[in-house]
Amino acid sequence: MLAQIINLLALSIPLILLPILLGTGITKHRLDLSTRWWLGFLLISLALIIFHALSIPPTVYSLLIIMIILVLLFWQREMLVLELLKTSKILTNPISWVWVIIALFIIVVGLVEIKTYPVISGDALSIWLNKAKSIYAGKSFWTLAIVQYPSLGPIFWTFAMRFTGGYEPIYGLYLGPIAYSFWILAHLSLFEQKNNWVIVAIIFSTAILFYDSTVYNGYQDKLVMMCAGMAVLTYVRYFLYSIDSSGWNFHNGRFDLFWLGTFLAGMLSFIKTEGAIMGLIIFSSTLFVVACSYPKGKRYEFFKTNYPPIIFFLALLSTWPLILYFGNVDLSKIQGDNFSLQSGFDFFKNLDRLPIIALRHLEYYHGIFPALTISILLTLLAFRSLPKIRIILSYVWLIWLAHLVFITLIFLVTRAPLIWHLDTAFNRLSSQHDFVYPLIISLIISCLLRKDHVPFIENSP
Amino acid sequence: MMKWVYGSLYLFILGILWAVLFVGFNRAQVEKIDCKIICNVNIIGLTILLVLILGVFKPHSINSLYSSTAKAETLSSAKNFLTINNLIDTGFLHRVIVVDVVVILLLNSLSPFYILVQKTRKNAGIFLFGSTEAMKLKNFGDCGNIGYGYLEKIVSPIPEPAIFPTVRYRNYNRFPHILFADSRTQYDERLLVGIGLDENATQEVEITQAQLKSAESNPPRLTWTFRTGDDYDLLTGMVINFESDPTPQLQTLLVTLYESPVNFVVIGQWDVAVSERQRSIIYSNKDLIRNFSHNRGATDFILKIESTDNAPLPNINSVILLGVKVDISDYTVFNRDLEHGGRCFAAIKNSFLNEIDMNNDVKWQEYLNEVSNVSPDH
Repeated sequence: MLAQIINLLALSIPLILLPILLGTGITKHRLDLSTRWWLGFLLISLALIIFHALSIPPTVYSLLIIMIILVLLFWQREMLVLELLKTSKILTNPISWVWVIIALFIIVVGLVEIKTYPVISGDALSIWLNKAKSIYAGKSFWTLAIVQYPSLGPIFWTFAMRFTGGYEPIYGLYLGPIAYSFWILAHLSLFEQKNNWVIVAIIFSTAILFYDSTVYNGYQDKLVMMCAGMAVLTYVRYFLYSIDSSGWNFHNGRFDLFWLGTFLAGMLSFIKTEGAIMGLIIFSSTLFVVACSYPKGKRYEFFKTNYPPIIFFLALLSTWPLILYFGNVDLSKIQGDNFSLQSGFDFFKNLDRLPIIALRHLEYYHGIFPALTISILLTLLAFRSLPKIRIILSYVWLIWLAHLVFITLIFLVTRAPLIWHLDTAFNRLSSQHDFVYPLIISLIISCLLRKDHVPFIENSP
Repeated sequence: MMKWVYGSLYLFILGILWAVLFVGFNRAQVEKIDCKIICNVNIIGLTILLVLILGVFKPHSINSLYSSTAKAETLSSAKNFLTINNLIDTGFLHRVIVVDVVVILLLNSLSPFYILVQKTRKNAGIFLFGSTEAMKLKNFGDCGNIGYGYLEKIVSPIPEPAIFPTVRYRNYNRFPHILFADSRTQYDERLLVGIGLDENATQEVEITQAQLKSAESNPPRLTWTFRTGDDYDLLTGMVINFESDPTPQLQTLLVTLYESPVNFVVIGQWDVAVSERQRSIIYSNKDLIRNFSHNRGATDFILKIESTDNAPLPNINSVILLGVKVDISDYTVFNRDLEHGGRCFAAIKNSFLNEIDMNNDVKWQEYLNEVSNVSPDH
């Protein structure tokens, strides 16, 4: 038991503490704890991927990352103290402990399940954990199994394992429940008054409804979902800040959130190949909404003055393909024989597959019927009663729809046997846009809870 | 007149949406949770939500509809509700909607929450006090499943720290090396471990029957397709059955095996001689195809049968592929899991065993002495 507790304490450093510290130290902008964790987690992962691709030994780059975080914290020590004081002040409120309890419940359930009944199988073994063990053993980037698949998850797992002093596959999987609890609690940022039992009920029930073994079974699809959810949530917050009494005003908005959303969307390409498409969908939808909401004559002006995030996103999106390109990986066959650039244009030849794919969509939505129906009905209500968030809701549903089309296209062009491919991949792919429902429900309920029915906008720091 | 049209349309849409919700919820919930109370409350709660939201959307014309002399009974209840709806303020309506949503969500999360609590409560003790090794043995099996227990016995004493034996299962590879807390990442063919295999696994068996995909006449060509499902080390041959007496004279068929319908890489080609009045041919490959079918998922093989002299092809009834799941012909078994009827075994490549003997490799000799429980008979 003592060994178990020591291991858990050791794992809490890379899995919880270091991402929060880095997320706190890296930016002076006001962010909630969950967003800071996600920022820190993805920055550490990005550093790990780049160091690994540069063939720096794991022991060296792990130490280097810890050193960088410590130096950063020393540099930002005043802000860190202020944040700690603020957190301790918040925790004096009894309802704040409810959030801690919800997070702990999610984490404890996940940890117990991972150790006692690990459900790892299929690609989780052959790809993701296979990569993790190879990385841990010090294999170079180019000799990893299925090198073309991004390795953000596995590389962070190995980083975490090092703190226990040895390789142990289940320790890496602990990342899932922790990331999930930070993702679900990030929705609190949409609510004005956190001290409301309605919010507790909403956050708790949505957390339970979407929590299953896919969060911690070694597959990366739920990590894509959570990261995409964080990106869209951050953009939604940016849009909310950009609304004033006269309508949209992007000059009043918190542009740091636009940058952060861009970073989160760009990082999707490091988690899974489909993550790049999800990132592209999210970012292009964001630009589309901004362009549509901007005064007609000034749209060009927005892009002219705000081009750096666009370049930043494209740089993030192209980093993984560039790493592969310089490693002599054939980018046209990134998904093996099942997909190629040429097969991508074959979808019109396979239109007879559409009814089968549509049935799979229906089957999937049966499984999440309550959350889906409530989201749709609340959106209908919001379109009538909450005119200020109409565009934001359209934005979220646009992403949902675009991803739905993307999934349909995948199965229209796949060269693998259709039924087999649907059986093995459809639900996993569809789960990547499950973040839409908690976000829609939280956003609309947050507006309905306000007497003036306007979206909540935090005061500027 | 238009008032009635709008009113009827409104109620019609309401009815349709309610029916969709009813059917959808009933099916989804019964399948997933199997709890009638939750299903019914779901339907009631969602119906309330639907009506409330549609109340917000109520067309203006419906108000004037009530002032008219509506006699239809079906409309009277809706009229009453919507009249009440007119009396309550939007803020109150929104609060009712919020409460309704909370109730539905909580009810739906109740059952999964209860299951999670029960499971966690049951396993918390094991989590805290059970060792990770014991958990792995329980979940990944001894001689069954992934064979963690048996592999642990064979793998941990291997003198070379980076290698892991090649492992064969009765179906497909599970990449067992990732479960072990060591640095073994290289699968090495010098050692072979079989997990959960019966006797047939090491002998020639029928793999599957190929399906005819297409038949062309000019030039004469038959295209067959087949999928192995499980992993197979060797393709040893095939059985070709003819519908009737195949040919009045000797004919040679050119049989070509392609890796997949996507890349059409040739992995084998044979000339199969068909003699007069032969109803069936059992063709054995002289050059066995090794590592024949590993980790292929549902990828098909393509088998083309052509005529070497452009003569019409005989009527082929079926093509059956023959192969061996686990090829141990070059190996010597040095350990068998006798507790499980020998369904797990460890073997060493004969050439490597000779090398150990010739070089007097003490480390490997000690390993074999330690692990061996059957006398080597190579």
